[in-house]
Amino acid sequence: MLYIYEGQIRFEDINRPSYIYNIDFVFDYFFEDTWIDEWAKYILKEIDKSEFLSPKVIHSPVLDIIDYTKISGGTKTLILMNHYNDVLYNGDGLGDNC
Amino acid sequence: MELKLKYKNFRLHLEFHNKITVITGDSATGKSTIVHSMFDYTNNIKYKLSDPSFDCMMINDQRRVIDDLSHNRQKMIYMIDKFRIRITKEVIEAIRQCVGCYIIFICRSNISAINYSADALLKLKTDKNGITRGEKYLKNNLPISNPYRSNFDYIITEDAKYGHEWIRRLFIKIDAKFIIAGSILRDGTEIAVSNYDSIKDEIKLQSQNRSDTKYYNKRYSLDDIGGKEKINPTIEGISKINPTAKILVFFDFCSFGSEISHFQSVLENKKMDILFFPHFKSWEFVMLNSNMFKHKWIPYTIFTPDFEESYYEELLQEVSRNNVGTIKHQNQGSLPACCYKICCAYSGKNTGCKYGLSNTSGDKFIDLFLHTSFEVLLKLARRI
Repeated sequence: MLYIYEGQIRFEDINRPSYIYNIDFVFDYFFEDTWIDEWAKYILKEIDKSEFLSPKVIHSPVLDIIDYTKISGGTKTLILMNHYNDVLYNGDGLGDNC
Repeated sequence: MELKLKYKNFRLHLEFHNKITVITGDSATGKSTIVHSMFDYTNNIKYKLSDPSFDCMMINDQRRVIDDLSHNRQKMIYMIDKFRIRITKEVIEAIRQCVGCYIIFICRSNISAINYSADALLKLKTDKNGITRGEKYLKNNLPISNPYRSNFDYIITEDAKYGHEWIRRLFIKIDAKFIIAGSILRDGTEIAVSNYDSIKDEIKLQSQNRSDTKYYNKRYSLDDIGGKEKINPTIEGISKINPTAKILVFFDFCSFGSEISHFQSVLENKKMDILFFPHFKSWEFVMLNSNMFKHKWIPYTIFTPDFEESYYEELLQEVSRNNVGTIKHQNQGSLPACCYKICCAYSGKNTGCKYGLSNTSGDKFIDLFLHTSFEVLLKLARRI
């Protein structure tokens, strides 16, 4: 189930163990190869128009060969959301195309 | 100012003219790439600016943002990564006082904490040639085919006091309902379509008629009337009463940046004809451009140590300062008669005013705006 909270959040009212504000920090420093499944590949293809060559290496039509830290903030958020369900994520990084 | 950048296959062509510019865009449109590429010194990336005397500086550390901005290096383009910087009161004050520099925010959505122009909000889009450009949200097209002959159903103003009263007097020949933004509710209930004082009375009346006075006081507080953030809910409220209404809306374009994306979606989704003025930076700006004051001030530039809206407010107060009718933004009184009545010297009074306009047409509004950039207002108000 996806819950969306808008406006000022009262953390005591929502039953979530943790909140991730800085998506880039968590994704870049705690990245695990197991996060890259078929769904993550699909998301990267749809949003970034890029492909995983290996879990940490991506081929982008614009930026050529890049590492996993250079993918878009929206893709990072979606991959994290798919993998850790009981966490509240900062949705500021999600564009309309996400 | 133009910025051109090439990094691998990423090509950016950005034009910006305001002191504050906000760059937004969907995911993977190139916002982070701008930040990475411009300041990736290992790759020796070159960017070109149309004025080579300017330089770029990245601000992405909250601990250094005040220091960096307060150093006030002129000829600098500060790029602020909104994903890493919180906009605090201190940051806003430091930005306000910056002189001789451009400030560019890179963020996902628009920023409401800072006053910036409606044409300063850019959305990154890649064109068919693969060049990423910043597109303005609003196009300058007139949705109404012949506005000068149209009958407007509603005239909405962002200003609650002087601006609203002055526009009511200007458009007196137009048979329309005058609404201060926020004086109509989202569900379409009209509580007042008159001036500021009558809204005050209406709120009192509403409060007395209801048993849940506290609730009503909260819902219809005077704070809810006027202001840029009330423009869009007001138009949405009207759409429930009259889905095909013709609306003339006046908002301060120089500070409407935070609302412009919402306004654009309202324009696209509603069937109403909505006319607005990109040149109407603020009511004070309009008055400053009138024949009475137009040679007495210098325009706002990046060298002005203030936000554009407050600059015009203070400027109008300064240039109109005399013993007859100083126009003060915070004043609670009525609109000075200088703004709409024939000048004192031509009506038999001798007040010693320095700014009198000769009464050539018999209409003060015509004397004020004939042959100025706001002559179009006279046409719309059917005065010429």
